[in-house]
Amino acid sequence: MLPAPMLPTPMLPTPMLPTPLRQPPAGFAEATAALEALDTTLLSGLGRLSDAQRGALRGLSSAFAGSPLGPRVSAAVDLACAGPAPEAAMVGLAAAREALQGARADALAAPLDALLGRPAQPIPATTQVDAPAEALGLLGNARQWLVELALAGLGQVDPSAVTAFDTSLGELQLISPQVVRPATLLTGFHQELLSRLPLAAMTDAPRARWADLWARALLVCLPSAPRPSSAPVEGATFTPWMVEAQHHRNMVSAVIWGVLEHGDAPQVVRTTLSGWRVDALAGDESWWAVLRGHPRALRAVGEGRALRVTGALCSTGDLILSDAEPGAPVDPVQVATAAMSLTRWPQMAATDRHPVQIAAPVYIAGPLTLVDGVACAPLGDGILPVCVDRVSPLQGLDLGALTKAERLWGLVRWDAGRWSVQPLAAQAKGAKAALAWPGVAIAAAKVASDTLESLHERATKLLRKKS
Amino acid sequence: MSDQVARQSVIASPRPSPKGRKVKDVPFVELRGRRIQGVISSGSDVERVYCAFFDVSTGNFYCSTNNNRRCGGLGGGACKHITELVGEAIKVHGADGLASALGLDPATTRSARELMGAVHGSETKEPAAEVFARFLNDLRYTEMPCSAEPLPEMSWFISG
Repeated sequence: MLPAPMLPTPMLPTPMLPTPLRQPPAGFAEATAALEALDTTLLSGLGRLSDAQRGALRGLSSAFAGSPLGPRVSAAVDLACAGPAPEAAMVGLAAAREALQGARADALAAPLDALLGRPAQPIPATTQVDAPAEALGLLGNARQWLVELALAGLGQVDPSAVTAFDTSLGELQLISPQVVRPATLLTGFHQELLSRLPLAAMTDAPRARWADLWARALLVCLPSAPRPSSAPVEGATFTPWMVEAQHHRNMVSAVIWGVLEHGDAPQVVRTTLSGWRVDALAGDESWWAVLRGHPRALRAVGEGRALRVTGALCSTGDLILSDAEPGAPVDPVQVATAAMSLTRWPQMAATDRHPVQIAAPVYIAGPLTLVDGVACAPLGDGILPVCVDRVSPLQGLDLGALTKAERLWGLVRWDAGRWSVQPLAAQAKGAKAALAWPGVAIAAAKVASDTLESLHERATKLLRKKS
Repeated sequence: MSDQVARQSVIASPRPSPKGRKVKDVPFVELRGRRIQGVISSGSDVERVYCAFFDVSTGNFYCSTNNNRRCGGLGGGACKHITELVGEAIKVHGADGLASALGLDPATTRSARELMGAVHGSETKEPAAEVFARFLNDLRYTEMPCSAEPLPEMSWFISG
């Protein structure tokens, strides 16, 4: 099945939610309306604005008046209204959009932190990082492609304008890992547009999603960007807590949450191990896209072991592994219980703030309740629905067992106006304790991937022969 | 309500994992527009593959080796390679997923035979180069370096 809009998580009656999450934050509806106005113009095309759309853009401009972005947004809106918007104007509009998402993320994160008893932390320090010289031309091509998409309209662009980017994209992927962030986002977006266009009706477009991907792509393709600063870590113990699978057709990421014993006190961190995926690698075998490049670290996690890690710890709480040795076996309940009492947690970098980045890991030791057939997890003085529409097949989670779960590992998420718990692992009453990363454990128990080996053999024969 | 929520949601729903894919026989299959295209292994020569397509809007099809030699199995109709390719596309996307992606009636996407029987086209020669290049591009993903960097942009992706 192709990426389709998510089935909505059933909305619980407000009084059932935990108190801090019952009311939308002040100003939230206004920020959402401003985003929707911009997203509608992106979908139908900045190249042919109606008078109503020009009015909506001017409204956006006045909303930013007096803010540091104000002059930039106002110049961008003037250029866009005068007609065909150049790249600089598009960057201004994308920055406005990201600023609104950032404000929404802040407004959502504060009550969630209060609910979970996680104290506010300093804004993560960043340093400005330039893209490598050999990538500058290709990043420029990518921005030009994004400009053309927005002029034509994300919902009605001709598929040939999407495929026109194939060659540049292929070259950009090869410059990775320095530009892996723009490369992987552009790959996922490009693939999604190709598989969905042409749309039967404009209302079929995942409007907010495509506007997000477009704006994020334009900004992440700028030649210089702030990145979280980092400090070295050597020989520290990292105990995995839970693993989330993130993936599009051509990349798989294992986002491993865990406890790092480093410095003055243990803290919750996450480490992301990723690999490019050939399309035929599917199901549990998908993890081999990551295992082939990070065999020691991911296999040790799959076997349920702690890691002795060397690498760098970012100001955001992201741990970048350069080496990992397998350590002692992990008790998933013990590590979860210990992690829940810690006070230092990963934070969003200022320029990455967005509601989609809200992912608060939680361990819920208590039976789920059923409300109108929907499994709900107790949290604070209320409950949150468990979002079964958000479960990746790579996760290895048995959805049937979920309603009987007595212990749940998951991430508190927010999407489309609703809070939910994205389940990552569950343990049913009376079941023997299992690892909180069933999918990885299954893949790592194998010596090799047959699919990967067979395709690798093909690549060796055909790619070499061609060159 | 659900349409409204879908337009506001920034997450695409996960697609189920394909069951019983025969990657050795059909190492590459994809949809481009309203066309199923891909690569089928030669039974006899490991360095040779067949590149084929089936267009669901016209019913047109073609199959040739990567060196543009017409498939001997094409004789007035589609060869077994094309049937195999269409069958694998159904496995990858599921009958319903394929029907919605290609704008077809789900009653016609349960098997390759039904899908190909629903529209009648003819053999239409096309160079193998484009499909073959797409396949080689896909194979590169088995060799590209992995990353240990945080990738906030992957937070938008739990599908595919």
